[in-house]
This record gives sequence, structure tokens and C-alpha cells, in this order.
Amino acid sequence: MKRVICRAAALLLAAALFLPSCGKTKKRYSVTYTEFFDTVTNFTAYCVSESQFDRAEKAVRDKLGELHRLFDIYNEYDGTVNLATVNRLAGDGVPVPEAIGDLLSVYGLFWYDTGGLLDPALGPVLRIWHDCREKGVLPDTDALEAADEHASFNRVFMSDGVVRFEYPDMSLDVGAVAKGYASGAAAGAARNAGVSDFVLDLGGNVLVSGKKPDGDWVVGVTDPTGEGFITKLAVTDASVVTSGDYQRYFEVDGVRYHHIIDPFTLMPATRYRAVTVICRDPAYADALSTSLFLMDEAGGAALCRKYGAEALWIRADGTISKTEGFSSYER
Amino acid sequence: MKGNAKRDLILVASVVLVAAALFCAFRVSRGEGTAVEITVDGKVYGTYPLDDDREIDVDGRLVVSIKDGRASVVSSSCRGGDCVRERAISRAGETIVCLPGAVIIRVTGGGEVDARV
Repeated sequence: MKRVICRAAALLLAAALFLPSCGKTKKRYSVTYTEFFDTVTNFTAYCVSESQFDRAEKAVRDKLGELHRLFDIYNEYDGTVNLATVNRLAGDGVPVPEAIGDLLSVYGLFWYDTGGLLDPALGPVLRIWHDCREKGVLPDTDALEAADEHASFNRVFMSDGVVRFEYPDMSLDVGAVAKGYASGAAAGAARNAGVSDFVLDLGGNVLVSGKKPDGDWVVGVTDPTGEGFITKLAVTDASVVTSGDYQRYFEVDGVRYHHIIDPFTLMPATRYRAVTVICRDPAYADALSTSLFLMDEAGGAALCRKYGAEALWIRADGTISKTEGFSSYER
Repeated sequence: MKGNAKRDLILVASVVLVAAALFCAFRVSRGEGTAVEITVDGKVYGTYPLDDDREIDVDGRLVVSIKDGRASVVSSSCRGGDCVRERAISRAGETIVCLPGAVIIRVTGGGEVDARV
């Protein structure tokens, strides 16, 4: 009899020890920022407690703020060398923070791989398009060509952490990769704060880490022609980025002029409505989506193979094409 | 004695395994919905995460309780009170409808997306 009681007690003890540790369920927390990279950012995570989420959220916010200031080409900040400083002074050479060097290295890869289609030195041209978008007027062709005169990344020199332009009227615009790079750095900050199951969405530039308690995170791919989704993707530990003609644009006489400018025509690229890329590296995912938007499909597919990425193209006529492995993410 | 200890160990291990299996099954079954959307007179009154335990006074018409990942109606100002007798809902797509009060309580999630590009 005594032995039976002992045995029952042992069982109860085992159950008591086991269940609470297993029962520490994670809750879903979410926060939205509007102050970074001219877009809406959402950070959603599963955490064991609110204080854990608060720590991770602060780490993400601090990192995004730091990189937002570094990659800002419109404002300078006291005590920081950022891209606005570089654009003002790089005719003479400027020592830059590591993150700027890293970002320009990513551009170096893709500038080479795309034969110059992805070019951060297109700054003066993009500036004109940016101002025209705000005013709703078309740019002057002569002004665009004048701005393009020195706009090539092979006139930007980088060595020993110093950036120098061949001509002082050159300028950098890193809009094609900055958000992807920043999301990767912010994800690292979240993981350092002990959170690994989250989605970090910088205005359609989505980094997915880990899983939800009930399965994979799901990312919807916007249908450019309607309200719904073209498809839904189940991903983990990867970035999903879309470059689309509907994201930033203005219309003149019923014609849409969007924000992805072909450096050879100096006009918005017209092959596709949208290109979506899935890639493990967040900076590469961002660079690839813009690169593919500017390239033919065969060239884009070759680039995807090189970087282990998958892509979906929505052509100007609305038809769709995909890389071979893309469907394995669709659900 | 030796044999008894061994049997005990096997017994303990199997109980722990069964407990783990039950626990995981429980988690999976309740993980399907993520939020409760309450509609009043056809308009969205509010959306509340199923993760957060709370009570919601819906426009003075009824009180919805969210507890342990399940939503139910705990009291209603209408006479019938059918909705109070409805079982708690937790899965995406499940609804409790209070016709006299024109209130619909629906679990969203599951088929929804976490982000869009």
C-alpha cells in the first residue's frame, strides 16, 4: 500500500514538473512605427511575456532609427556622418560608418551582376523624379540627361572605409536596398534580445523569423489589379520583398509614373506590374526585387539561381511567371 | 525490487509522454484562431486578440468574454439569451450570432495573412 502511494506521488510529481514548463505559451504582440524609411513598419512577435516583447521591440526600434539616420539622404544629424554628408562632401572623400560601407558593398555586387541596372549613383536622376512625384508633374528630359551625366557607380571609389566621388555633383540614393539591409540588422537586434519568432514588415519588405505556435508565418502577395492576393506564401527564416508599380507613383494625363527608374532610359521600367522575391538574406532579397524589375526574365532567373532566391513576375499584361521553386512556398 | 523500480520508471515515462501528447494536441487545436471580430449592426465594433483574456461590453447589448483562447457571451440584455448558451468559440470562422441584438462574434485568423508584400 505504501509503495502504491509512493508511486502515485512520483507520477503526480512528474506531471507537475512537466506541464508548467511545457505550458509556457507564447503570446502574440505587435507594434507599428511610422518614423522610419518613409513607410509603415510593423513588428509582430510571439513572446513569453510583455516585458520580453518590450525589450525586443526597443532593440528593433533603436536599430531601425540608427540606420534610418545613417541612410537618410535628405537630412544630416549632429555628430553623425550619414549619406547626406557623403553626398555633400564625397568629392573630397569621406570616412563612413561601417553600415554605409556594408550597404555599398551589396550594391557593388548587384551593380556588377545586373550590368549597371541597379545603381545607387543614380541619385541625381532619382532626386528629379522624387520632386516631380511630389508636385505631380513630368520631369524635363534635358534635366534628366544632365543629371545622368556622372551617374554611375564606377565613379564611386571605396577603400579603407573612405567613400570618394569622381565628381562632386554625384550623389547616392540607396532606396533599393536600405530597407532590406535595415530589416536584417533589426532582426539581429531582436534575436539578441531573446526573441526569434517574429515578422518584421517595413512597408512590404517582410522579414520572417521562426514560426508561429500554430505553424508558418503567412505572407500575402498583393494583386496589383485588385484588393486581394495573387498568392499566399508560407515562409520561415527568409525575406519576401515585392517591387511594384503601385507602391509609389503619380499620374499625369491618365498615365502612371512609378518609382523604379531604369538607369538607361531614365524612365520608369515597364516590363512588369510587380516582381516578388523570396531570399534568405534580407539585403539580397531587397536588391533582387528591384534588379529583377529592371531585367528580362531569363536574366532575373539566372540571378535568382546565383543567390538561391525564388521569384514571381506579374507582367505588364497581367500574366504570371515563376521560378521553379517558387511554388513550394505557396499554400 | 529491481523489477519494480524499472516498472515504475516505465510508468512514469509513459504518463509524461501521454501528458505531453495531450498538451500538444490541446495547443494545436486552439492555435487556429488569432482574433475575435465583433460586428454590431453590420459594422465592425472591434477586433480583439484571442491571446488576451478580457471582457468586452458590446454597446450595452451583451458582454463577450475572452478567456484561455476562447470567446463566449457571458450576459445579454436581450430576452432570449440564446447566445449566452452557445458554446465558446476558438477556431477561425466560428461564430456566435445574437440576432435580437444584431451582434456577430467571429473568430478570424487561420486563413488570414501575417503580412503582405
